[in-house]
Amino acid sequence: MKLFRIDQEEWNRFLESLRNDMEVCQISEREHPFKEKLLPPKETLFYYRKDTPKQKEILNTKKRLFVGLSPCDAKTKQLLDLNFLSEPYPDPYYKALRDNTWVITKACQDFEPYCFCDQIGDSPAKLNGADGILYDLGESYHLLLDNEMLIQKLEEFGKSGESIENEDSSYEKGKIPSRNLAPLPIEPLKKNLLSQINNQELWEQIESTCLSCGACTFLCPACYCFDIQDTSYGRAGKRERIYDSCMFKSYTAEASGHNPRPTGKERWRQRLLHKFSYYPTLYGEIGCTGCGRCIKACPSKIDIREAIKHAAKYCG
Amino acid sequence: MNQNDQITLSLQLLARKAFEEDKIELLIGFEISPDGYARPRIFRSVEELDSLAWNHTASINLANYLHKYKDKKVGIIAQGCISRSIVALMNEGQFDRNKVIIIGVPCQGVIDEKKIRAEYGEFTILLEEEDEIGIKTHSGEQIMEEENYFHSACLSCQYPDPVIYDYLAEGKSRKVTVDYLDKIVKEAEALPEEEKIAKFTTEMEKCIRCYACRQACPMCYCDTCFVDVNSPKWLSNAPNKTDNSIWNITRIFHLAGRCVECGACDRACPENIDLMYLIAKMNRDTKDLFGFTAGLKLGVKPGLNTFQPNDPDFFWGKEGV
Amino acid sequence: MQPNIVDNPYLPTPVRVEKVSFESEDRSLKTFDLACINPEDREKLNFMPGQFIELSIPGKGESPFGIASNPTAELIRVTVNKTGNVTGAIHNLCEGDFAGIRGPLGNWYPIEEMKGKNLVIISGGFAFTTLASLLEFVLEKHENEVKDIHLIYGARTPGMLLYKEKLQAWQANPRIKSRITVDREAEGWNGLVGFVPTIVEQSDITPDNTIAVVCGPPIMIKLTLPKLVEKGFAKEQIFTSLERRMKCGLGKCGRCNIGPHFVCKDGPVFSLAQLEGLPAEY
Repeated sequence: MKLFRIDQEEWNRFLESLRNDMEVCQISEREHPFKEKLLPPKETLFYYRKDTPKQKEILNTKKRLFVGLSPCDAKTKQLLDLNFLSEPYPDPYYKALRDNTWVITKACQDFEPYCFCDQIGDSPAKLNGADGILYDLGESYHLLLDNEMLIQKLEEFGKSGESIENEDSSYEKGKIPSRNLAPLPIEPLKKNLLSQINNQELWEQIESTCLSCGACTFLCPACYCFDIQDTSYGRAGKRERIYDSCMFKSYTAEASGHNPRPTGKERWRQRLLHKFSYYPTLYGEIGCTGCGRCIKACPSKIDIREAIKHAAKYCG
Repeated sequence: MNQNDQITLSLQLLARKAFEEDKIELLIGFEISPDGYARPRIFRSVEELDSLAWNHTASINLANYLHKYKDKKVGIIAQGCISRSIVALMNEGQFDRNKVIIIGVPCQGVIDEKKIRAEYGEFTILLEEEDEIGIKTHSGEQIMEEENYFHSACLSCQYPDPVIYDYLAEGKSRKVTVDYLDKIVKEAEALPEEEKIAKFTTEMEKCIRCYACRQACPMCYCDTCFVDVNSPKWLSNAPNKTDNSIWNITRIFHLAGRCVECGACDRACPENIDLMYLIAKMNRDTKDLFGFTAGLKLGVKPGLNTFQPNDPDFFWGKEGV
Repeated sequence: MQPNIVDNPYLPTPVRVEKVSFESEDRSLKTFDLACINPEDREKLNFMPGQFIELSIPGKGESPFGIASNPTAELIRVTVNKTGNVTGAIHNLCEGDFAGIRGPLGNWYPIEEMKGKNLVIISGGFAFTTLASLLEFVLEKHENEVKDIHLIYGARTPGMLLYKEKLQAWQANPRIKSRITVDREAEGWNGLVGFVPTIVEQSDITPDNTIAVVCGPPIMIKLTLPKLVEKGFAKEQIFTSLERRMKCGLGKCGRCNIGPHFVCKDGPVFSLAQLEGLPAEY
């Protein structure tokens, strides 16, 4: 990786120059999770026609660079990779999007009221798998690039950078927010939350005011459950992948009428276990970036930080 | 002592009484979160009641939880709109009057978080005085006049006092003199055709079909929502403009004569869709055409469940067809 | 055998309906024999008994079905129960219509473990599909490697038994000890009468050097497994196939998990020992 010093004007010109090769998007708001760019809310898998068995598969290979996201959002790529690229069936749609997507984040200078990335062992000023990170130094930026193609483009643009071992090396990073909050007890959950699967009291307490609305899952950078639906336009149509949610009652409803997760209790249990027990068991990472969108979006203001702390009491 | 503190103390006393007289097994009420918001909480014992509170951020329709706890003796804190939801639900046969203990609250209005966020960015609630809210944002602390940040539903509210109750907390409600949503609806109606369509389409394109609006609404309690019906498949689940429009319009129409205009759907929407102008239009049309307002009196059949021979029928089409 | 790696596991392979037949007297069960429209695709669909396919009807959706045919047969056979939108559309398929198959998906019955042992197949209702595949495959390819073969299969009425012609052939085959039963006495039925768990209990199967595969409705499995355990079967000797609502069938959409495992990818075949390691609730 290489570290470049670049000022605002050069940065804008550099991004302009990249527009010949790829779509460059500046992300300025935090409302929408970056996952929408890698796993769109609706994604056509293929078109079909009723009179022929042929299908037209749609893979998106347009090159795109996203600039300005927060580091927690960049973590989406690492987390979704674990599920979608897993063998033996790597997902070609996700792969096409993600192989043609580059991300340069902007290190956060403040914590939002709902952020808690620092409480789960992450940092608002680290790469998190992004291709680059921009540090605001006031008059100029420090740009750390970890991607050969981007480094080459920036050098061709006329900048020269300093080779860096890793991002923990000491260099100016501008204002890094820090605060004195205790880390959340994630480890006990990873080890023992599964043993509490039958603890009705625990799940009742966590989910007592949940409305099963699903807003949390739609905005979560680490949630990816999807449904596959066909839409017919007369004699032709398409098969699409759309967002689904483990919080919906219909998610596991079976044709016989039986539903393994009939109430909100079972569904919240699945959500917490999936993020903090199953995902780490399968892939080594928790399914949470600490962005806090779920807390902000929840109409009942259920706070996953409190849920974690509460569950940890039962996890030894 | 400001009004909110007064109401809080009154509620705690009344709730304690209800528990001790064994009238309720649990209480659906509010507590204050670490960020200063009143958020829903289920209180299961007298000891927990110290957290029971009320303030101008109490912005969810608690009547929703009555569906969840149907088999218990339930107490519920209810201001005007929530009490009307309860009446509407009882008039639809969802609950017995004697199974629910209602602790009424005279309401002064509730803020709209999104309005505050739009102007100040992310914030937490600091303090609440009479007529003022203190918030903490990135740029520091602000004091704002509450009324400027009340939800549009509260700015149009004709029924801030609970319409039924078993106990009533001490306090004064705020009377609204101007129907804010009336103005919004008239402005929307006055738009030229293309702008109406453009406005509607813009809102519908935002929808991600998360169904938070449906889940937040106490009147949306169908076991199988029309969206989840497979045969016939009324609409696609995919979030495209057309199906989003069908979803939103149909849901709103299904609420005709049942909606109490509490604003829960609008507040719950994570994509900031402007639902209120559509809901308000539907409610005002229902009132104009059928003379009906939901949830005002127990024992009255829901407006669109009845038929009068002289009901307006201009929308059926030409005569003889 | 490794899982088939295809470029795009979401794209169905086009197939044509070669044969349609009613399997049950009440016409709720229909069997479809499917052929690949492009003959070179047939190799992509090479499967082992126990695996399933997602049968795709463009415009309606997909449903998972256990494969009922012998892996060496050209045509792929599934038996479909009409319960909803997609299965209703499948039931409307006629000979010559085309559909799509994604697969084979999931894991398969442990044939390797059956070599040198007795094989007991226990089934009920229309869960018999993958076990029919297993039995045919063992008889064709591994007859000399497997010792005694027992078949215990029951249905509510004689009309609900699957693959009646094959059943007759198996009953006449001296290589298989068959016990076909129906729940209640029925006109014209001269065979066994009784629920499958009872027949299992009364049978002479022993756990010595035996592998048992059990597939049926949840109630049948619930009552049969204890009978096997009573007879002395160890949990590693008993295999079953689980069912959950599925969509992608690839372990990606998140729907069919039990704990950290996916029924579509880590199953649907599990040994009783493995099942006990999974959370009881999910």
